[in-house]
Amino acid sequence: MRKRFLLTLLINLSVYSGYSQNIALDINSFYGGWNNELSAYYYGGAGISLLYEHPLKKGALSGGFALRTIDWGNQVTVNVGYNATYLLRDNWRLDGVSTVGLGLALFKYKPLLVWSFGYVPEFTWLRKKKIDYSMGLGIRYSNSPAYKNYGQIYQLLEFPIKIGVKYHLKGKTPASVVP
Amino acid sequence: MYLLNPIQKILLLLLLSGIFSCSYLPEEKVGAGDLILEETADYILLKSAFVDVSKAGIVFYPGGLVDPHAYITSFKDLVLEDNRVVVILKVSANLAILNSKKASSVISEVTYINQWIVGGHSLGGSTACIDVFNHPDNFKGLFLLAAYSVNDLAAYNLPCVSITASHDEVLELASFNENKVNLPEEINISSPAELPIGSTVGKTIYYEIEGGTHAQFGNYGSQEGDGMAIISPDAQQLLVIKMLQKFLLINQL
Repeated sequence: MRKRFLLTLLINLSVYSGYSQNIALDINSFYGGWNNELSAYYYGGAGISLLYEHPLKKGALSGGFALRTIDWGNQVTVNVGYNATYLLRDNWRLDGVSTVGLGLALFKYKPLLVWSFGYVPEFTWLRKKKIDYSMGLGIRYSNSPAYKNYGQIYQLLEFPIKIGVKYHLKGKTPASVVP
Repeated sequence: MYLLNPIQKILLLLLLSGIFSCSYLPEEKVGAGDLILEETADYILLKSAFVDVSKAGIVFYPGGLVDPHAYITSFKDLVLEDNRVVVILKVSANLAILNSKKASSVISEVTYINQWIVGGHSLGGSTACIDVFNHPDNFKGLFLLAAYSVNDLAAYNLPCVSITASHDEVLELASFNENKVNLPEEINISSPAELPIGSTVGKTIYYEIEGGTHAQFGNYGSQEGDGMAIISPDAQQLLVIKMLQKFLLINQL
């Protein structure tokens, strides 16, 4: 039963449709809503991410790097995620992008582990050209467990806003995304 | 660089940004004793159980790429002995220059303190000067730790104190000396005891700590390119606090 499930999953994952292979470059702005010291609105930092998106039968897998400023300074993470397509129209698409990140808070001599996960509903303008544009607003939790030895705040819940471009590695927006 | 495609260039930029954005980690937290810490996303506020609201609060910009918690111990005695509020600012990417209005905006949140002096270490000191330059009415005094002003504050009617360390090899002395013209009239002293008895409004007190280094103004270990200290961080910070206490006293702050 389990083997059959895995086989079905693998077949599903390996069938091309929906997405093309993309490189997504996003600029993010984070707005804080909660941390382990208080709940309040505050500006949480900015970041940039570069992700490779690989098409699946439904949606896409993504993986890449993200660099951002955060309460404890700067951090770099390796992010992996799944982009689920909710709505697909002639020239736009609505996805739900779930990601997890694992990386380092950037300190000299002693970088600290950080991890995070988040979900961003993302709207993409399908221009049927080499580059599409996207934007999204979501929620993200970040944690640097060891930073509690240095500062008070080491867990954050933020609302990221992102704008980005998707560069199609093979041609323009694939015809398969157009119903 | 010309051989790289756009994606490789972006990756290289990300890598270089990562390398050059590493901050100095503070020493691990120890028991704060009687010190009360209130931390938000924007600042770390230090106070004692009995705040003397008649005394000026101190708002402080940390040095470039130094975690702000590295200055808690530096100001602990000033807070506990004077019952004075100290606010250490948290700045984007640990680079004060990215938030040069932050002191002015944060002091408006601490409503029970009526007057403030602003200071900073290294890049944070220069940023404090930018804040004073843009918002001169917000502050009653200025103190710089291994820093100089690139803004012309010479005609500003503020008491200023500039503290350096003799074994600091990070501070560019040529720039420091060139930019003295941007601060009010220079008075050099070699110990806090030599401070004038009256107000130093419109003057800048220059005081060099013998045997100190750039990094020992905070508690984040040694800094690349810095000299070798011949006094301990505690001794250097004690001299800073003694100087500040007397400076604040004679200026009735």
